[in-house]
Amino acid sequence: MTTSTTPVPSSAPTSDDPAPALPRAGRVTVVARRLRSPVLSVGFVVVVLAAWQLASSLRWVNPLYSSSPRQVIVSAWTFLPSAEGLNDMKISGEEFAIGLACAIVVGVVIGLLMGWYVLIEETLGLALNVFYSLPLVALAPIIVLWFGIGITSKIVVVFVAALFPILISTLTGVKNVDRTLINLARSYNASRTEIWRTILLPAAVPSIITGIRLGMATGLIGVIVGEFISSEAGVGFLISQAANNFNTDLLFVGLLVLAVVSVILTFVLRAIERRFSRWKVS
Amino acid sequence: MRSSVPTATAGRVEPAVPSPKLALDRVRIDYTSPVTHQPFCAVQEVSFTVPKGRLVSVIGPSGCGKSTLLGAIAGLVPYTGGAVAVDGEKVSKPGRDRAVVFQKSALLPWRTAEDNVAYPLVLGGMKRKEAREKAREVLTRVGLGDFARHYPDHLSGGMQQRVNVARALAVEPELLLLDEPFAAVDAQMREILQDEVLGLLENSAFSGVFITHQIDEAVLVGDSVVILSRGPGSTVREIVDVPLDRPRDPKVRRSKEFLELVDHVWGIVKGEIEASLGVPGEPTV
Repeated sequence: MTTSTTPVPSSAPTSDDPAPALPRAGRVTVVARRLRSPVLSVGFVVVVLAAWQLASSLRWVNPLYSSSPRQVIVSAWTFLPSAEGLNDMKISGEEFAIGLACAIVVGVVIGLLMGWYVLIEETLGLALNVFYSLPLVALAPIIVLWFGIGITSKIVVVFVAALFPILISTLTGVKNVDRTLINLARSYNASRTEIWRTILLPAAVPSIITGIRLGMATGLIGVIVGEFISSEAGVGFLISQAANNFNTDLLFVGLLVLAVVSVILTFVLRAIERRFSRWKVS
Repeated sequence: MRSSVPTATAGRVEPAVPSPKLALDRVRIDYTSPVTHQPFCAVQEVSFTVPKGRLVSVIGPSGCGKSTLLGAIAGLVPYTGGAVAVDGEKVSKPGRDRAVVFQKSALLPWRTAEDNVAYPLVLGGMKRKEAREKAREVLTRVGLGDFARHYPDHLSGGMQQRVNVARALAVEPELLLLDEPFAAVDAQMREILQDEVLGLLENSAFSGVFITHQIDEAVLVGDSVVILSRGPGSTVREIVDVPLDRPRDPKVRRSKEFLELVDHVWGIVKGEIEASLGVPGEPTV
């Protein structure tokens, strides 16, 4: 192929040439476009952190209240590996993981049943809507009252917080299954189990995973809200204690932990989501 | 132009006629409308037969219950009166002897083309590997050999519809039930698919029912055309024989005989549509 400065039309026949060389300018444009989003988003965070550091170092704001990126990192470096720091993360992690796991199991099962059996949906519909519309913050105190200030009450709060997004997303997933597909399976004499296994479940998987991603976000809120109300350890406990003690550095360490966890979780879940919906047109 | 009375009764008078593959005898289907919750008669007194190895097209104004009727033959829709019999046996549920090609391509989007075609085979108890091999073979037959590993969403509408047809062919049904299979594809692709299906049908032993609302398509593919009256409670208005030679060349579309048949059928369908638009004197439903 002769080098040419005119752009190669994408529809040009390229049967012998697996990767037609783009003109140089074109390749640069492609790379630039691919990098644009990460550069802009990371750049913005860096600028904000730098401004924060600057404002704090130059005493434009009171460092006692504002802390600074440097102080937060120093504080994280010493606190997080300490016994107390590790324990906080372990406790919150347990509350979150157990609560979320229960919410996934219960939410998916009830969601599937409600989506398929109209009678179950009609029975539970109102109760669920009422329960779902109650703010979690309003529910948490009664849960703590019933389940104590230990880890159990926080597991329940996480469970309640994560349950509804998972349940409702699963329900929607099952309800939106193309009826023709069910008729198709029936026309080939598929049993009820086979219809579930080959049509309903696979069709609902993307919605279930979306539900889990949303449930993780609300579950994380649940951990913190639960620990705010009453607790002896955990990241939420750390944050509220730090606030009470004007320990702004430590408070930001708590926020940092939450931010990192939630970014990682969202990233992982998005990857799983993509894996399970690769058959969709992007 | 030959028009015959429904042959279900004729068959009983002359026992010399070989038993048909499919016989509908005064079939009636009622159901409750999901919108108004009122009982509703979709079709009634529908009688026609499909002789072995023959293809019968069914047309009628939209809303006349064509697809419902096909559902009853497939065993997916219960009928409330009369009898649907395949090889003399009354139909009460879906069976492996019948395969439906649905109107929408009805492909499982999370399965590749080959796994979609293999789906009914695996349901029928075939080993997955064996089913896949068979699926690839059938896909090659409909010209999609190179697309076996593609997901439906990555195929064009025409290709999806061919996968859909391939899936029904893979189970080697004795009775193929096609429910407006080309309704969702554009005019050019429709013609190509018609030719393809025509070719596949010529080389196969099965009998078939072909639901469509395209008159030329009904005449092109069918050995006879059953014209349903307008709904609700539609019935067989007339059965028109299609005495065109088989194997049928797609070029037959341009022949005088073909066009006359289409005109004849159109005349009858048009009458039904006009009646449904409330020509004076007709009771409106």
